[in-house]
Amino acid sequence: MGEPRTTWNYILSFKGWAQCRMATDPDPANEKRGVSGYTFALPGERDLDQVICFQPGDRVVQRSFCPEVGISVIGGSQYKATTITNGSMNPREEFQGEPSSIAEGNPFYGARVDLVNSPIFDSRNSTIVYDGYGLISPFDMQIRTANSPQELTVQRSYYVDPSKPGTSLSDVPILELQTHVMKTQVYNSENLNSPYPGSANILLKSNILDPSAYRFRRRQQLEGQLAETECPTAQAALKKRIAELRISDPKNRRSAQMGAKVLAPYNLNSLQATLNSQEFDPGPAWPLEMWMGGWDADSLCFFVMGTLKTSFDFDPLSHCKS
Amino acid sequence: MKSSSQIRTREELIYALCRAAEIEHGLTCIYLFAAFSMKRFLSEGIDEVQQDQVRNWEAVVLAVAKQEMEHLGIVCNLLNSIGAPQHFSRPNLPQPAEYYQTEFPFSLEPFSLATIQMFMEFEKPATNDFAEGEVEGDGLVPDPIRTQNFHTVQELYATVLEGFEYLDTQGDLFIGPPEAQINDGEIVVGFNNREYGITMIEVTDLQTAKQAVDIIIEQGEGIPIEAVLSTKHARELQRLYGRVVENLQVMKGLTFDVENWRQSAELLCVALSKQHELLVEARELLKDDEQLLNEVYWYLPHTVVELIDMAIAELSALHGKAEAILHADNPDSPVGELEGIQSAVMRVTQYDVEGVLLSGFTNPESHYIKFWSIYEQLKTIDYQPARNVVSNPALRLHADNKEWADQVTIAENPYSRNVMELLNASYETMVQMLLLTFSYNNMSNDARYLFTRTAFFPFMSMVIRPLCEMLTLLPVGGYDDDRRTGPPFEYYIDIALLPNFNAGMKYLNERLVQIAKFSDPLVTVPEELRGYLGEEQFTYLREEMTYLNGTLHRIQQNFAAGPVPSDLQS
Repeated sequence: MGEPRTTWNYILSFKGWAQCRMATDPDPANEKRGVSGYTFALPGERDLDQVICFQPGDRVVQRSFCPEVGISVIGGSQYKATTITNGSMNPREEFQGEPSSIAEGNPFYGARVDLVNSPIFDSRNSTIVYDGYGLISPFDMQIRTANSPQELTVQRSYYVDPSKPGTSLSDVPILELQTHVMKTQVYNSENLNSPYPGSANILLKSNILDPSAYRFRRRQQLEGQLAETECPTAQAALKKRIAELRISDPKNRRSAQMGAKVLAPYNLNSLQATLNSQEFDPGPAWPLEMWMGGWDADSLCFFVMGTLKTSFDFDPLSHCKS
Repeated sequence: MKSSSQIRTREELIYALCRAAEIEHGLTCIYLFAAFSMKRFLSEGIDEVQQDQVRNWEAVVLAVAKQEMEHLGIVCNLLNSIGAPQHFSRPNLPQPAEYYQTEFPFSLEPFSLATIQMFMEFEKPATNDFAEGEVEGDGLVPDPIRTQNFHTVQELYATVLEGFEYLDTQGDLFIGPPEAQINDGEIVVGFNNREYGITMIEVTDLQTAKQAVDIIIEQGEGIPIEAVLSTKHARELQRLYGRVVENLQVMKGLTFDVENWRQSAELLCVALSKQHELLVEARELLKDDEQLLNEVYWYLPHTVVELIDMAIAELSALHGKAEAILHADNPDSPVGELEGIQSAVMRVTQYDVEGVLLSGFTNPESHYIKFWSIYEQLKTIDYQPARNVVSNPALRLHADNKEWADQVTIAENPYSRNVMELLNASYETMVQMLLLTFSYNNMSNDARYLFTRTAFFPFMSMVIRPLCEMLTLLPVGGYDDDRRTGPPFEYYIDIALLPNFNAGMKYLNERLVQIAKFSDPLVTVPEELRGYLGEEQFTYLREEMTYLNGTLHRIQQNFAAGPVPSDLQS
């Protein structure tokens, strides 16, 4: 039983669209243009790079009529507590005062949530794990309030084994990694009437209630754009997108994957974290509930929603740069 | 459709299915070879639009190859259902057309217009009922099963189907254990199989055997399926197609010599007149379905009606030339000119006319139509879409193809040869795993999971494919030799079942260790290739080989960890 300590806790809910310009099976994981899968680098675009982008930047390729990339904190709560740690997990907390909402005016409100250091969905076609989605590697989550008057950057990671943070996934036996794979729930026409609650949630949150209709609308928009496009390279790119969007069978993975929900079980467990680049001991793992879904193969984007609980032995807001 | 051969014993059915397995396997290699010969980089002399076009063709050819693998898997299930052993053996390539009684030889050729024409012939549907039995059945040993010359493997499957139907009436046909059947879920990593265009049928009775054969025929030759493409005149178009092909055969059979060229020229003109009438009639039928056809074939450079108009115009011009020679008082070298006309008529009819007619009544997703659509696009381009890959590259000749040595190019470049050897060993090991997967009916689910999660993904996509792609960049000879090599898919031993599971695991693990170790020094790509390939392709090669090396070691480690307990399966 550890000593009681005062902790500053922030429960941050976030959402938004991310992009991953990756090839899809049966293309090899490192395929640069996309051939036999259903995702492609279009004429005029640079090669696929597999990198998961939670924030806009040089790696993101914004296609017409597609969601804009950017994941930010949309709310949550904060409270001070007396915490008693029993082992590395399951701390017991007693509130000090009442929790308050994270809303406009709070530095964390609107903070950018990012996965840094060029993470990928690392499966290598079921070489790393026997699973198509693989593991997100590396998983270095960063919360940055840079757009608010008070700047604060918090970063912590998830490792398969937090005592060996430098270990490459390919050095961990596959059967051990199998216990860390992300869980997938699939919504498609075959379980439309199933009681599975996530399907409606994912489609509602990502604003894609009917994947086939969503793709059809996009196709119509692109056909209009194509009619006004004269550049041969841009025409070829639009034709490729339209050709793919013509595949409208709701059971086809181009549509069905929009209802696939991937749960990322990555509690941030690294033994070190950073606050404005200064390392500190963050204590027990920070619980993270995060799902990804609404995978839109045309935009190479997917919707992300999650909640992260951070906990500090000090008031992080007192470290804000003004 | 009736077949020209009859199957009356289990042995004959096994023989026919083994032949089918060989053909599907061989076609897979042939299609993969062509797909991987296509250019990928802008530094290979193509622009971004061309790069996209070539990529799309590669995707089509790969999709067809994938379905040939599916067909092979279905044939495995059919063999299993009647208690027969699997058949993954096949002769090394090339093999002459006579070997499988096909129109073209089985040969590894780079992607080109001529290659696509060859593929169209492989996948072309049969037109006629073959009432005449060529082979006496009911023997103690199987008589040869013949596919109809000029047309392709459809008749073989018709023969197989009739064999199943007949033998089922004799009782006790389906003696194979049902648990040996491989189903959809077992071979695919993903959340359903439709995404890969794969449908594995578990064969346990006549009904499922029929379903299995139907899938193969529909996907391949695309026999008439009104439900898929509901043209109003599908049956009439099919009838016209049969008559056009008959007429083509008449023209094909004409010979021209100095003494009697006039008589043959007259027959050619008569046949061309008849062809013209048939095509005009077909044009009206297609015109009546123009809207639907334009919707289905929106991606072609011309509409279906435009294509038949162009074919009619071309044949009319050839007809005019033949008539002019016929009516000239003293034509110069009529034989040479007439032979040239005959050859052009063959080409236009066999590819342009047949393609456009078949587009009016066959499954648009069939292999034939997919190849035809590439053919129509390829005709219009003015650039070279494929690398300068030689036909039938090989490490060495084998007992079963040495007779065709003149069609084989033995690679001499040491680095290229090592990569070829790595590919051959990997391919053979993968096939060995497939054989075990489809054969061990007492294999535990945990073990079968390991085998399928090794042989399909990642071996096919992360080992075989990158090796094939790298090989078509590598020189046949020295670093001044512009000819590129390619995947030879050589067999060194007859692929046979490893009889004991534990010994099989050890043997395969040993092979995987050897393969991974063999790849270690290949990570050091010869510096001469930098100048040969240019910086972009050299960098790709070096990175790809390094990535592959890591993959091979990881696959071996995964395999060595053994069967995957059910609670750890994804």
